[in-house]
Amino acid sequence: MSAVATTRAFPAKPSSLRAVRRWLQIEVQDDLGGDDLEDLQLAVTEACANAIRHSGSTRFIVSVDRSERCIEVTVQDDGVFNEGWRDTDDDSHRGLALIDAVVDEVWMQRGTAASRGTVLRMRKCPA
Amino acid sequence: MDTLASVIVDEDGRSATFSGEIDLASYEELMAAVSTLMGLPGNLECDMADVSFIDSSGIRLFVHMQRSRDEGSAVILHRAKPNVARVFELAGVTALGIQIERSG
Repeated sequence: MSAVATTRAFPAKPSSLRAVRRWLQIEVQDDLGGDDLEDLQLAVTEACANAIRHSGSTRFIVSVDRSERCIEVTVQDDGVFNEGWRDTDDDSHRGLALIDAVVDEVWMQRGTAASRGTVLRMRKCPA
Repeated sequence: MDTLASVIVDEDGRSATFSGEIDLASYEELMAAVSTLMGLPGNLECDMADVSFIDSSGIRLFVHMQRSRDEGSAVILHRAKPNVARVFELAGVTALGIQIERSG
């Protein structure tokens, strides 16, 4: 059975990161455990940290959805994707590389001045 | 609210004990706390046993510490939990000289 997606908004500040991890754990604990859950918590933390540091948004939205046996988490802000940071910021570069390494699929839509809002969607399937 | 993360720095500047969840929220505070360790000679032994989570902000902290040591000296992580050790390995920072010794 496919459940309805659960969505929650968080203030775009660093203290939200732990709240996101706790919420995510409660949402997906019946679907993912152990290393899989920790992988997803890391990936979502990185995605949210990018929204906090680079988007200029005051908040971001996290959605949890199920697709077959997998969990899909979407992190969305209403800002502009900072194109420069891939080259200039080791930290964010590492963050995106970590996301790639620990989830099964990643999609990204970059917010621009004309069309605001960066969306990062990650799919994690149980091992 | 309980503390997110903390570090206890040994007086001799050769060891430090980290605990908690190291992410963007704890980065600035931890950077300030380890500032006395920057640029000191010799290895830095880090006890990671009580670190339950680390992200790329945390990795950045350890990269700064490694880069501040003299050539041939290492930041050595002891007793890191598997999930924490894995993040360091995935981030590729062992190539920078950081050494990881897993727990168990």
